[in-house]
Amino acid sequence: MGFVTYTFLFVFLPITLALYYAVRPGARLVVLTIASFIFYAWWRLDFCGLFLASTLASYRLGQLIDQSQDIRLRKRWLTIALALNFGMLGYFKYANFFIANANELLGAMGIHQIAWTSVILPIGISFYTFHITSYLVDVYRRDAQASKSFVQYACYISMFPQLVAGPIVRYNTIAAQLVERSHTPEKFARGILLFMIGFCKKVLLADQLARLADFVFGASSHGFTDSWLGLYAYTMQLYFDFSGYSDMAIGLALMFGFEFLKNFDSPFKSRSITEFWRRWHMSLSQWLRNYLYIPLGGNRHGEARTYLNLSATMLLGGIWHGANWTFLIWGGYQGVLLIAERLNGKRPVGSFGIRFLEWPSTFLLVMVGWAIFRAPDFSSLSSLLGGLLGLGGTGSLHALIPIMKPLTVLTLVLTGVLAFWAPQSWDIAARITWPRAIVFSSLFLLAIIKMIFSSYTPFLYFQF
Amino acid sequence: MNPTPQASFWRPSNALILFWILLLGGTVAADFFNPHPPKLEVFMGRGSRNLWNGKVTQRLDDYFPKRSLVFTATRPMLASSIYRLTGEIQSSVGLGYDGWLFHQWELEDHGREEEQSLAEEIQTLASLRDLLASRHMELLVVVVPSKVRIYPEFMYPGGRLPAYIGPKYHQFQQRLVAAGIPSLDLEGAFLASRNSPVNERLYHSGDHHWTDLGCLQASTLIATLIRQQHPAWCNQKPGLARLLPPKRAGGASCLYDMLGFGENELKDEFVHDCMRHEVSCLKQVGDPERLSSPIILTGDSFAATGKQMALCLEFALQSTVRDESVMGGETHVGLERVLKAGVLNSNEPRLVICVFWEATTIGHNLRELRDVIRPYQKVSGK
Repeated sequence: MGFVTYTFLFVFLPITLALYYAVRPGARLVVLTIASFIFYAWWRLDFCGLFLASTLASYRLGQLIDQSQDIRLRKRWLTIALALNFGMLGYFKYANFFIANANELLGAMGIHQIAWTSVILPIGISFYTFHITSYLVDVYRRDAQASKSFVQYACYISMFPQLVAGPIVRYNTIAAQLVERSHTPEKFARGILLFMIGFCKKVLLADQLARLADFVFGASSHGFTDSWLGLYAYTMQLYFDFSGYSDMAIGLALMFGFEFLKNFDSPFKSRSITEFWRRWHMSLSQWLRNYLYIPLGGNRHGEARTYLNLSATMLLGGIWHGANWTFLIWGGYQGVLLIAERLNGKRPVGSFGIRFLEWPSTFLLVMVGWAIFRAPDFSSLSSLLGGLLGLGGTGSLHALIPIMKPLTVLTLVLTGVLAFWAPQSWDIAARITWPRAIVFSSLFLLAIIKMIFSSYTPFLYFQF
Repeated sequence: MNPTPQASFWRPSNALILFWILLLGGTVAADFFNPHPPKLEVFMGRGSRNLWNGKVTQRLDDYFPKRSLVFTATRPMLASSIYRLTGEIQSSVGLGYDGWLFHQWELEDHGREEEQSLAEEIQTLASLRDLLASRHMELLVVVVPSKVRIYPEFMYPGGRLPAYIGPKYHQFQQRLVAAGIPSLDLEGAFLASRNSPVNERLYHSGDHHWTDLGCLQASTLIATLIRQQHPAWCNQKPGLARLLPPKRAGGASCLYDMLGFGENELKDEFVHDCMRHEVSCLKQVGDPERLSSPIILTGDSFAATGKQMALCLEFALQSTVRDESVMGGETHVGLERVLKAGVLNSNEPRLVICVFWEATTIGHNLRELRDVIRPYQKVSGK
């Protein structure tokens, strides 16, 4: 059940909201937690058991960490908890990848291959693993106390707005809200407005570009024009899809009284890759910084170690997105760019010191990164990169005519304008005015109509 | 001056909450407190080229959970219903003997226009074959003969087909063979079993679709081919639904008799399993996320009849033809979903079965199919 479905919008959400506000305040978290597990079970009931077991185990381990006064014992419990947590993620997310590569190697060496049945990736596992880790590490560091109530903890892990695709909410930023939070009409209305903006971003903009991006990335050969057009379409699709999802998640949380942090800060306005990573999927960047980069040593042990830490963080961030070499390369590419900027005196590479070129060169480098990110395999990637460099000829828009409908062209232009110049949805929703309420309510109705009569397009980040 | 109570209520934030309650709550209330039973909704189609219908039916479960059925009617089917109810003949059906109805397209003569587009059609299918072959996938074209070809005596005196209908199916089959496009000729088998010992026809008398028997007949022939070429795909732990033949309301008992099952021998579980399978099948139609089967079925009117074919093929193969492998509602729409799902990138051996109906295929250009596959052949101008 995605957010952009009839079932969610007109059955699950209104019933959950009605029950949440109908019960006494003390029972509201119970309602939200049960609803979240139903939301998860809608996908697959059997994996709901795994999710529940994982939640229970990490809750108990969190208590053990908290209760241990001896630092070595605390560390031991943390190690066990993280091994369990990441062991599960490793098995479900990377076992297929590992076996496939091992079999390829064994096959090349003429050795008998490993018999293996593919493992199904439980939806949202990457995100809830990070949530659990955040809780355990915060408790270990004494940044937060272990939750006294299982319901509060289960609600933090399972809360359906952020369950399947983030944002990754750090435990110590939300711990107090799990105990007590305010519910005001203004907050609820802000949530509605943010949800509607996100919904429109996804349905009216991102989905409109999906077909063009899919066509270009699915093609067997690429020319210059179509490669750039397809890459631009995917760049905008990804941004409006994921930032739209984040807006919806934050908006939903507001409706239940929770205040999440911003997840996107107009990333395409960045003037360097360093800045881009401060603005794109901010909750992931912060998680990687707090729980990986800094524990690795951050920039505290000299230049060489800093670069090593940066590379390791970005490589792991890349592979977190999916079990594919292209994600690893994408992580490596981002790491190299960040290191190059540091070596360049924290100035963007590719701008040649000209301030005017900082923004376009950064955007260009980000786009090339998305080519690596989206390509399904090396042959497609090399074909697309060749196309971007013009090695596949100038290309022709002729083949794209069947999918380049006027509305698609308009969306391409509009997304550019919105991504580069428009105010952020976060700021729009901060103050509700009559024009904003009317405009976005109308667009929301339009998006619902489009949703009903379009084929289902899942959120891109659901796959991670 | 302090605002009046009315003025303070009408703030944009309150208006937004009111809008939200009305929109979400209103829809829920309308669904749950509807005094009328779930209704049959008829979407009037514009023949087989209508995409609107497909878009409505493909996410039926998600968008209309409270509706029991959305009936997508093409003009001829609706015309058949009108004839049954009122005796009135619409222009899109041809009335034959004994109340048999035929789709107007089965009976029409498109003349030279039809002949000209034949070459293009073969070319399109050859391109599709090559595109799939480049990614280790095979194509199987199955052209379902028109009802009038199998039961001509119900339309024409003496059962003699007009000259413009007679040879075109054979010419098309010959051209497929000459172009090296794997295809299956159903006509011979259909003619041989047109009057089955249990008196069940291969086609419904009131519309142009095949019956379960017709579908099973075709599926058995397809299964024979698959057994020869991909034995590993057959006999894979069949469940109850795969062990017994599919059951539909009309003619089911006859079908069971013919296959050696007495009515009382059938377990209730089978019916439930079958129904569950059908619902699940309909739910998954065209959901590219879940595509994992080596056998992909696409075909005309598949949103409605794909589940029937999936069941028949499962029975014939004694193996699982996964629900998600059925891509509807027309061949090009189904194929577009297959391609959009990134199947081409998987490089896994698969068999794509394209089921066409003679009357809407031969001489009808296949332009939509060409448009769908063209961007995947070469996006660049190379």
